[in-house]
Amino acid sequence: MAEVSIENLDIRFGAVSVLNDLNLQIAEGEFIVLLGSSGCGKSTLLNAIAGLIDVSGGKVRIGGEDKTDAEPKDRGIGMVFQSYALYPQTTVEGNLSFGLRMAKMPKDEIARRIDRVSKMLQIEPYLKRRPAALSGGQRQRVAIGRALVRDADIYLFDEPLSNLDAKLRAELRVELKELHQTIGKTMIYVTHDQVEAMTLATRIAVMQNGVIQQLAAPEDIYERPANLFVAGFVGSPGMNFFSGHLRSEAGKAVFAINDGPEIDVSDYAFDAPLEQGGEAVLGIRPEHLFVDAGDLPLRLPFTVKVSESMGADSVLWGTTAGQKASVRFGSDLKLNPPRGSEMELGFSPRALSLFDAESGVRL
Amino acid sequence: MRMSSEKTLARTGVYAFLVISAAFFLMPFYVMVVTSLKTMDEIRVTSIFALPDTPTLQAWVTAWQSACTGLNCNGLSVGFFNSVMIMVPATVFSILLGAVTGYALSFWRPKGTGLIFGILLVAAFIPYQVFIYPLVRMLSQVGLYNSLAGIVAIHVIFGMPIMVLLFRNYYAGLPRDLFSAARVDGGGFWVIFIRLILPLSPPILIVAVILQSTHIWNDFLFGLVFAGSDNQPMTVLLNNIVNSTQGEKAYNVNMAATILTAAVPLIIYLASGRWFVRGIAAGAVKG
Repeated sequence: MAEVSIENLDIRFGAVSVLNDLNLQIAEGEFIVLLGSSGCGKSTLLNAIAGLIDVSGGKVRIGGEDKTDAEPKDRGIGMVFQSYALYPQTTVEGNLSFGLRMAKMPKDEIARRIDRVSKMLQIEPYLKRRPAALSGGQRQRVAIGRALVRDADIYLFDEPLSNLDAKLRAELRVELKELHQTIGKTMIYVTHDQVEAMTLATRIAVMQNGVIQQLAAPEDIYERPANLFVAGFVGSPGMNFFSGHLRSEAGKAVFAINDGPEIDVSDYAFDAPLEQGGEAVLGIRPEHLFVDAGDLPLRLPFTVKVSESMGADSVLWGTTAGQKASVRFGSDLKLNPPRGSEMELGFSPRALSLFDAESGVRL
Repeated sequence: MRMSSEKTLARTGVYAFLVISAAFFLMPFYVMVVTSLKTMDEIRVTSIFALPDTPTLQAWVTAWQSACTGLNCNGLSVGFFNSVMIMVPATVFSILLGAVTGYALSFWRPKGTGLIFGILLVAAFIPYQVFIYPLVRMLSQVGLYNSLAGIVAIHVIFGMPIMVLLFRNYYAGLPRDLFSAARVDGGGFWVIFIRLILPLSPPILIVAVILQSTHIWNDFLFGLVFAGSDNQPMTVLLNNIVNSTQGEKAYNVNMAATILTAAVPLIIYLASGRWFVRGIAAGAVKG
């Protein structure tokens, strides 16, 4: 019984409203990632689930029970913090057992749990050390261990990997995914790192200004972003956006890029049938634009400005009809066009996204 | 070469200034020490800067045991023990109260935290002489006037603003996640305070002990007004010895008595210089 249900949640700090009428249903065993830039309310939401901040309105249900006003310890949660938050004056073992001792658990049960968790996380060699004598990665393992010994139903992670260097972050990311697969518990994970979100989540909640912009599986978020914000936030380099005008013409849908070519988007999977046109934005990811157009049905002109090689991939930065654009392709193409060269890029109607220019909503 | 000779010159200047300043401030202390070691006869005929011909500790013994304060001639020793009796509980209680309040304001943030903190801040700037008359009335109403408990209570109350400020600012510098982690782990108000926060507090506890013990030891006014004749602290007795108007002024006894009274804070300062400076800085850095 570990589903989490957030109902009409309001959180205000004085006159500032951080979360307003937020709803979120999380099923048992899910790995939900709350993704957004700083100040979007994702950590606030996590703290509200943990019971670490006061809720101004709405309900937090855990396992079907109303836990809105319950103490953190009574919510069946374990939590991992960005700053590790290990108790500095005690050893790793002391850190792991702190909560269990406070809950007056029998000593042999504490020892059994510490043994199991420290084996799982490979922190056995450091049990007698103090946190100050550990590296960042070891500290975060201990912090994860401290959450795990609680044998909670739900684990909360507040940017747990943000303080680690890139290599360690990638390692621990994989370990976290493995951990989730092993124990199968509900996990809620806050991050601003889209790679973590894409790799770990069963579903991602992209947040902005205290509102969940889209809640969907990583592939859906990536391939079918619900609005311009999500489209621009997820993906690196970001999705190309071309402003233009969409119109329906003799049974065809046509998108005319401002001061640029017209593109037949009839084969685009519209959310609702196109009735009348209007100002719109066409979005296409850099890797969905092909330098070698082949037999792809749609074409775009492109003027090269800068070329960047990133090892496996290369990116060309330039303009299409005066609007900024980028193309990503495998470095094996050995392509290094000089500044100012003109080329034609090919793409498929299935790869593109269309948004209403005013509301930003996907069409 | 030129650079380094200029540097040497600057160094010399700095040291000369420091030595002169130190000498200037040490001069009165030197006079006190040499005078306390002289007999009255010698004091009358020699310069105050002259070293004693035949150093004697008689003045020190008199100051400690038999100098007269009004009608009693028991010396300062009574006051010393009175001061200890006042200082120890007042220091302990004011620090504990300040630490708990600072912890609550910093981490639990009950409603009105800002207001409470604001009031404490403002209170720290009100001259405390203003409160004396109402406090005398209040303490006598509850039967604490002229008692040890009364003077201790006064010191605890007046220590609150600075103690709360000190601890709140120190705790504001501890990571909040630590507190959150302890709450998730099941700690309540006191458990977190005793098992997590107090073990992290020694640096600020040392500073608080230094501040409060020297402050309470040096207090004259509260001791005079609230302690009652049985509990008069050393400072009050010192004043009575030095300012007694009958007979000739026993400068050697006065000097010895003054040094004896100042010895406790002086030793605390000297022994804890590094911590003391840190404490002054601690109050200033984080708001």
